[in-house]
Amino acid sequence: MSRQTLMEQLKDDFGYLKLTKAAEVFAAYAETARKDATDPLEFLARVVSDEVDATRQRRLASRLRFAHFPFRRTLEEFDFDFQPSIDPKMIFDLAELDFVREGRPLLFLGKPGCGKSHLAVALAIKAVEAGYRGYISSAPRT
Amino acid sequence: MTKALVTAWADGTFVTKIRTYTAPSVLVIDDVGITGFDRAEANAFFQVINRRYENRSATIVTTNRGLPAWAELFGGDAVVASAILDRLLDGATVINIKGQSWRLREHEALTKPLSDTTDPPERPPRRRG
Repeated sequence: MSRQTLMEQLKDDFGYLKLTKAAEVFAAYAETARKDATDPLEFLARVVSDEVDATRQRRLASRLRFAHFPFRRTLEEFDFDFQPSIDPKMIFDLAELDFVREGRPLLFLGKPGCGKSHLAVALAIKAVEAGYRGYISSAPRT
Repeated sequence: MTKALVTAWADGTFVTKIRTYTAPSVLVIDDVGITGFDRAEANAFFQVINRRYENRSATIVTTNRGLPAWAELFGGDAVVASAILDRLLDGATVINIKGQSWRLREHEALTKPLSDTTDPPERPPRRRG
């Protein structure tokens, strides 16, 4: 089979398997591998690793969309100096997600604007980034 | 969540709809206490909390109301309120934020005189005689 035919077949096969990232990158990686005469395993690993990264990103984006977070704020953005009643260590311990693994509740109490929702959403985003499914519902609105 | 579930109960889609709130590993219920719940809504809230409790799924609740005020929040139904709190507090981490509003921080000059006036006015010293 000619090199050209092989390339086209690979492209079609990747497309059939919906491996879009692999379809996009394999030709360039194959060219590099040929020039440098590297181990074919290395070529295969590069292509698969790119596809895995793309899939991971896509799944994360879809979980984030599904979660309906009203904003995307992180724990790192929270102004702990402004709220001295919150122990940052406690919050960053929660970000280790034991409460998610063990299925334990978290309750944030405080006046409007004190940062309850920021912390709740930031922790839920941590969980979604770690691969868990999350969802937010606003009690008064829905 | 509660309104959606009450609607779903009425049109016969409750069983599928409740999965939206029971299936995720982490559910955030934001701003509990801004408005109250009627009896049907309180029951829907309990259904979600109870199922998540039984499935051992994490639930994050934010509320501006102290927990003792929750009975009043759930249509005055102390039984439902305490059943919900029972499950929400079992093994829970409670973070009580005592600080002021971040959103109002720049308006302190405006809001401070307001809160000062809510203090009871000082009474003039009583005179004997």
